[in-house]
Amino acid sequence: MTTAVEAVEVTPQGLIARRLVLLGILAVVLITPAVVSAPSAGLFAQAAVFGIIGLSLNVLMGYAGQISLGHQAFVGVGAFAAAFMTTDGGLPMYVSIPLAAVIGAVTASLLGLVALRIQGLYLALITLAYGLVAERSIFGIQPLTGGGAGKPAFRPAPFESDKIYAYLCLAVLGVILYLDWRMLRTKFGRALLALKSNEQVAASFGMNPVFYKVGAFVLAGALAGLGGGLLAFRQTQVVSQDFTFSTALTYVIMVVVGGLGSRIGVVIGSAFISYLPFLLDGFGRFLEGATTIRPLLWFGENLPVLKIAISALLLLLTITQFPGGIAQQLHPLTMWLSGKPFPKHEKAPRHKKKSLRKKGAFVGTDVADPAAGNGEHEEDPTSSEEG
Amino acid sequence: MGRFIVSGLATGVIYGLAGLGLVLIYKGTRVFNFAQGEFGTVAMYMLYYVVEANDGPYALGMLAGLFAAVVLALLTERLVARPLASAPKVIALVGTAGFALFTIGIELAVAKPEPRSVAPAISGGGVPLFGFIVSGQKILALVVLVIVAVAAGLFFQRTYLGMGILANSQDSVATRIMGANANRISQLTWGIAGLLGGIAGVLLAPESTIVPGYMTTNILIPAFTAAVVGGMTSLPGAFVAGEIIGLVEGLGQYAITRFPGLEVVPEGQAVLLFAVLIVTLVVRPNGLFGSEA
Repeated sequence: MTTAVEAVEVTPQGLIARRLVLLGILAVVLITPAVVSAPSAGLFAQAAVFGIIGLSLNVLMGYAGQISLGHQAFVGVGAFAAAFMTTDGGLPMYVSIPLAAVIGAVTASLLGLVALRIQGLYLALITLAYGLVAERSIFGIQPLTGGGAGKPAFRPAPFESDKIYAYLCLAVLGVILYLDWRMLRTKFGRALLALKSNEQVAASFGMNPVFYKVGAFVLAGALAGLGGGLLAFRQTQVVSQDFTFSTALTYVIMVVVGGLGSRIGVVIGSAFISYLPFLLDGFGRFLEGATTIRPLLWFGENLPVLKIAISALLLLLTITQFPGGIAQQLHPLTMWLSGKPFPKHEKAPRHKKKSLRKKGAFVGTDVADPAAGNGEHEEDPTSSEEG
Repeated sequence: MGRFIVSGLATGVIYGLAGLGLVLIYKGTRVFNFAQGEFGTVAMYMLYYVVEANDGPYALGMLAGLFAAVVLALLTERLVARPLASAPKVIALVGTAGFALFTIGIELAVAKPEPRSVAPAISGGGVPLFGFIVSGQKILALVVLVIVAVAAGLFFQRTYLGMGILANSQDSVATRIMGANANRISQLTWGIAGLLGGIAGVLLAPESTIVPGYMTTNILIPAFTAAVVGGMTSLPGAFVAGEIIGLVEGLGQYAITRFPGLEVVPEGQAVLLFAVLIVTLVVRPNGLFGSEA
């Protein structure tokens, strides 16, 4: 796909400029929690946790081509497990969060073994039903989850500060990003992508589809459990109302709006959706002071409530108009940062889009991976998924 | 026990109606329509606004509810289903789920999260059965279900439009060659599904506390389970399976009252339905009446 541009040499100055910009971005991310107020650092921690949850769902939706509409159940299981183990079991936080990941993996493998015999659309149905069961029944079991009141999860001494906790979440996100990048280059990662592009061909090359799909499910469950554990201690109180059908769809929105299969896009998308209520709140207050026009005032007043409708609208716009999501929009920048020339906007992306449209394929699946740089999971754009 | 069976069968009517809408869209377009529940919720709200908030006549409220449901279904078709016609079906599914979420968001902003209630269409007129009075509303629901079932059967077997929908689901290209307008057929399919969702919503409204997203959280999964058990492509299957699901739920409630230990797990029926769904998909993916997976 990136044929003509690769021949161009990058000058040493160009390389230095790229490194400097990259360092600048990293520095801003690293310094932010330290300089902002404590509540803002809390929001930052939440954005980082959402990034982990987004990466978890991306393993399923972006790499394995499966879908989960009940991902809030895995996150919730991790959150309640971590809160239970620390508050009732007396385990320290740094033990209960990794254990939450293990529990997430175990529950995901149980569901995965049954559900992955079932294909495509039915899997969406099963995961949706599982999410509802978890929300209504499992999270309502009084002795385990404290019923409606929820389960407290207090942070131990050094992490009581929102700023230090934000750094912990950021560090975990960094580790997960690295592992995700390495994972895609192992046999397992390549097999997942192969299965996604064409299951029959992959199977005829000796890959066992059920094994890899259950593997992806377990991996996603572990990451979701980990995210849940971190989320529990960020909120210091886990309540079942936080894990509803709309939460599950919010996670799907993070991944799709970010860009299926692109880990940087997914993290940006997740952080954006995590900040969205805050941004809308601010915009609403701005409208209140800036205008006297009735409909605009109503809009401003209802912005916090409208956040669900607005994020759903973002999802619909993304899948119908810009299937590659944020990753597709940032593609020129990520190309440049990874040491290639800045791609000319008219050529590559638009042509690509048009030809794909004609063939009726979905563009979102073949956004080149910005972190890997060389677009290693390029795939046949004409392949369509199992219906 | 009798009263649990009766109330289960009455709830099953709603599952059957909503499930029929799901089957219809799956037959016509091969899409799992996760927005089906919201067609009903919007109908509930319209009924509430006409009858309770503005003291309008009940019939007008019902008509307004059905109209709103059909309009919402046509919007889903135009804004989500048609643009995603050539995308993977999983993406189309995400699209309908996103549209449902969008509708719930609008309901939250316009109607606020407060619970609402609507008076029944028929007050009184109850019939005692097994020491349990079956309300007039439940009987009305059953009568409507039978009428809809017969009408749907006649429509698909006797009319050109109905046969056009079936033909389009079997071979869209051949149907277009024969001169049928594929877009029209798609609109018609979604419109009828919206109407069925609206009927379910209007009939269920008096027996529920209406909140945004009510039908999606309470009816969508049982309706899908009914559709799957019925075979996903079978119209009579959806009706029969709706009753079966209602019955299973009723018996589950009966079991909870008999064995109080089960109350530790709240909403045990949800677990039961989940088990029915999994077992059906693993053991008999074609359902009871399905001819294809």
